[in-house]
Amino acid sequence: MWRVILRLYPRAWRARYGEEMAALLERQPVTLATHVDLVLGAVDAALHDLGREGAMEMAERLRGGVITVMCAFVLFGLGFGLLARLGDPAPLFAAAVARYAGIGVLFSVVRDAAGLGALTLVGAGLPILVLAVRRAVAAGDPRVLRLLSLAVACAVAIAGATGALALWHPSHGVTAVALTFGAVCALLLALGTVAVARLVGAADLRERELRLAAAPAAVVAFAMTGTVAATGALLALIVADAPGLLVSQDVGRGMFAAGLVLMGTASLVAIAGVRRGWRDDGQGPAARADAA
Amino acid sequence: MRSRRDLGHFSDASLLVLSSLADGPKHGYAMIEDIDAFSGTHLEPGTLYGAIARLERKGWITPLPAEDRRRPYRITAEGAGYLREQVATMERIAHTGATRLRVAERS
Repeated sequence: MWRVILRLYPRAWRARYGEEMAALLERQPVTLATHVDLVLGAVDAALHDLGREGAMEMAERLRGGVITVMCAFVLFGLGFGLLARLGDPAPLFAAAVARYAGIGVLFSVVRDAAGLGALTLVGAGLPILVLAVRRAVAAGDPRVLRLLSLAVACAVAIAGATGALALWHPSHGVTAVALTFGAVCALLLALGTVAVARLVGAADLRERELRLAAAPAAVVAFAMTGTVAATGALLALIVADAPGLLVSQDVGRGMFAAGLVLMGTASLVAIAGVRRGWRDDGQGPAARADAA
Repeated sequence: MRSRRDLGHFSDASLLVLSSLADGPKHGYAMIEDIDAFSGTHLEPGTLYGAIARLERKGWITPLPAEDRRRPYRITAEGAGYLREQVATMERIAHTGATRLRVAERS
């Protein structure tokens, strides 16, 4: 009977408190007084529009966490891209690794940790994206589909530009071409990221679904932080043992320093995103575990 | 001083909930048992969640991540401040009542 009465509560109330109220009612004896109290509660909730803010606020906070971690990873990817040239030219790098095993080990750690972050982000992000698009199609909401089209167009343009540059091999004005390519890709990446962030912001996603992203978001932030720590150690080792690796590049050591700074900044942003979205103002289970 | 008027008929239930949460986060069932133990008042779920919704709306309590369908709540700094004010008022009322009763008994 009480389950029927619970349906009298407003939809927002049920979305916010329905599950925990049902769990509570399953645990305690339900009397006539309980039924009367529930009816009065339903009337009160409808009259005073209770439950709406709580549901909205929590979903928005989770949504903000998802968007922050995603944007942070894009920034992290930019920094990682600058560091990717560390192993180039390959013969020189292989010689350094053969002589100093630590460089090879740390390089593998950097690559694997960053790979773990990327795989986790894609693995958790794709289902959210698919869900958002399916709901948008079902609801006939063109905004989400337009934003998705823009993001896909940006990704295709970046892939096309990269492929064209790889095939072209310009013999003159290499620096100008590289700078133009970098600027165009950065612009497209920023545009695509904003499109996906707005898509997640506009999508019809429930609190329960967004909560599922908590563990992947923590893994992504952890992988990013681990990559930064390992990269710092790797660069320190290279400076001490094989400084030739840093000056053998066409851009120089400033590029690696910029990469490390970008990755470090992105990791801090991702940690802030996880705390904001899933740690409930620093008082959630993780925070309590930290305090203990 | 913050008014209890906007809590309506739920002001007593709200104070009981705030008092229950003053020593740490609890979910609904734990709150009902705790309130029953320290005040002898049995809150029914409809009343309890009416108070929880109002307190959450005012920012005096905040939800924590759900644990197996049960969601714990914790009191915020503002909620603790409100509870402190109300407890001080009740202490003044109790002190005044007790003093006047003693005077009345002597005369």
